[in-house]
Amino acid sequence: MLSALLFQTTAAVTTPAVAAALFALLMAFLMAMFAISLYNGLVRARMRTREAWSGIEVQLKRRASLIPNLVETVRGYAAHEHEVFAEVAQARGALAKASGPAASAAADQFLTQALGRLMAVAENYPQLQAAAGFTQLQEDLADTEEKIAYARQFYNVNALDYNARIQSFPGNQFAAWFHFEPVTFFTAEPAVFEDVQVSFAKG
Amino acid sequence: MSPPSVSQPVLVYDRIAQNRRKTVILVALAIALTVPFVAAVSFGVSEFLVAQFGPRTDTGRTREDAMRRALSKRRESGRPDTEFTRELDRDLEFQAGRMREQRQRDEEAIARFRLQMMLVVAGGVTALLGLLFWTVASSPTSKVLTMCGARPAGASENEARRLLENLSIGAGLPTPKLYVINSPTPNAFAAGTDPAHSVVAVTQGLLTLLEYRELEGVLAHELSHIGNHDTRLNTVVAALALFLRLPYLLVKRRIDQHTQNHYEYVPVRRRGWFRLMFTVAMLPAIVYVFVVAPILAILIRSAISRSREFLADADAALLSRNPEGLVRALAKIAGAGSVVAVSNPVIAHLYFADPQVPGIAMGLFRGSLLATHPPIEKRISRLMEFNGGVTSAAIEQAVHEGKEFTRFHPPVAIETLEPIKQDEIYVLTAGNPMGRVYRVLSATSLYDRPDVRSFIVARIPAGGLLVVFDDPGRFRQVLTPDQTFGYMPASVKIQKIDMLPAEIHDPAARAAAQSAAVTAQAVAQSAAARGLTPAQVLIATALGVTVFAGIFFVMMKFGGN
Repeated sequence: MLSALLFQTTAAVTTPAVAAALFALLMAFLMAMFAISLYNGLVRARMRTREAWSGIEVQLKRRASLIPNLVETVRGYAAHEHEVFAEVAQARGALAKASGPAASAAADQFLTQALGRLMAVAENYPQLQAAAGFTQLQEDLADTEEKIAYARQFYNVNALDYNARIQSFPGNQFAAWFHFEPVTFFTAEPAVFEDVQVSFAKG
Repeated sequence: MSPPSVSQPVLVYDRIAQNRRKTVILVALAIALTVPFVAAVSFGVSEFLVAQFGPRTDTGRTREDAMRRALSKRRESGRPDTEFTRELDRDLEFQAGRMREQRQRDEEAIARFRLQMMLVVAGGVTALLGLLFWTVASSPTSKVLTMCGARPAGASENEARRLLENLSIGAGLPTPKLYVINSPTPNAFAAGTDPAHSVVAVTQGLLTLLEYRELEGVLAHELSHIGNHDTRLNTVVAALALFLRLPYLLVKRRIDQHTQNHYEYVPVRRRGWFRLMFTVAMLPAIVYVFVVAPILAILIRSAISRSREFLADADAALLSRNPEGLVRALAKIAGAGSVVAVSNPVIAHLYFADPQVPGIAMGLFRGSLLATHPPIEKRISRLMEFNGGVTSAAIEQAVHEGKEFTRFHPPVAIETLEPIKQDEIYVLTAGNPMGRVYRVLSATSLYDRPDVRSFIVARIPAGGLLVVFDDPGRFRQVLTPDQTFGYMPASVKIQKIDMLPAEIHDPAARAAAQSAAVTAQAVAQSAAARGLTPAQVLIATALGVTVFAGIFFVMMKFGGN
């Protein structure tokens, strides 16, 4: 029978040397597969951090497009509140210039505070609440802040995953060789957390 | 409700890893159950075929024994020992020997046949399992939504929609569509085969009862289900469980039919001694296939469902960074009760809280192994382990609020459109139990009962859109866009439209579909009626043909031996 013939030839050919060579080949193949999957995992994690970062930028852009509308509406009723408007403009400029997660986080913090002060000023003008679309703008702003918060959270989760992969044992060898740099988290620097003075003097 | 006790804080990540491990173990167990099941079924079928079509070796043995007895009788009878008698004796022995050899060859052939039959049947049964997966897994989300009467979220649910959008940004998933169910009972579910085509449905009662942070917790829970591919996993497990229960359900159906027809159970007639021996020899296999496997399958399915609920709770706490919201929402729903009027066991696992449990009598179901959801107290105590800051007073307050809610919003008894049979095979045999959108190609009328002489409920013009609940029979059960239910003769030609049944209530979508229909009139859909796409029908036919060809081939080979 064909199967018996096949079996006999296989048994004859498989000497110990051949068996050892085949085993070594199999092991090398498996290790190569493992290395490839490890490398691909690192690449995928890095891609995810980049995508999450662009997600944050999308939300920041969205807020940036809301702000001029908001500022103009408030300026229509409270034209003399110059400092607040100047602050907002300054914070926007800082955010536009910022590069990298840490600087962006600090600038974002500044802008949030400036906007908070702007809204606090707007509370003093009741006729502003009746202005067309102001409540809608307020809601949109609050919603955008929440979206930024979630986008930030998503970025940090992916940054955590990527950094962990780079620093864990099999990965850190690859990282050094293929130049996988760790990424920073999107957190504000400690200097930002000092208390800021809110003045309700004017109005 | 007694205040849950927290012994020691647990990290969310640990809890998530633990639940994932548990799911893997349970799924491996379910797959491990399938292997002896397939072996037992193929063994049984091959034995049956051998018994029916194999040769009777005992006749050969009888003749051989008769010959040998004749031979020994002749030897003992003391007859003259001549050349002739010796010749006769040798001849008789030779004949007996040849009969024995023939018998041995027959037995070897039977053994080979048996083995080949087992392999072929095992292959066929595995193919059946694959087909089952495919059918169950490709069921559209629209089925589930129609079953619950859900409508797309409108402008009044903007807040919930924004919340869902924000959460999906945090989870890195595409935003699922939000649907609203017209029920005062607070509950929610997520459905969809993959994250890009998922929906989240909430009841009106949930939106009214919960505050912002609590709604956030619930939506995060549903989103976690979607992100963890829980609907896909539960569908696979449901298909596996259905496969393991199939013989048992078929026998139960047969018994039910007999009981209906004869008003008492008429046992299967025994066909004599041979049949009895066959049954006795097969007893372990029979017990496994008809008793052990179905029970274990159901237990495993429920256990997996419960473990995924815990996982979704933990993932929701991680996503929203706010386990208190979820805890309070759970407490409120515990007080209010989460019974939803339509609850087929096949989709019960998709809900946020167990849809079959009345709110106050929860104690009865506390230790139930068959529950698809863990008891709410257990869920709350696990969430509290993540060091949430909810006091038991706050939980009691939330439960009280839930009960108050039920007092002012009592659950309305929704009449189901058709009696939902609790038998799971119904999901397969009935084609589209949950309805699909079709276009009627010629004008027709809808009747009140499946009878052309009954009252006409509505008239449908040619090109009208309907939701059809396919029913094997001379009438189809349909629902018009303005929620009128009626029976349509099966002879009316219909064409499948790719819309969700909930969308036909929206005039804009209907108009779009109408305009698309004029151009698409020429395109005819062939396999729409049975709920399978043409590709599925083709592959099913190919598999069936292969299996039967294999059986034929093997039997021919045996017959020629």
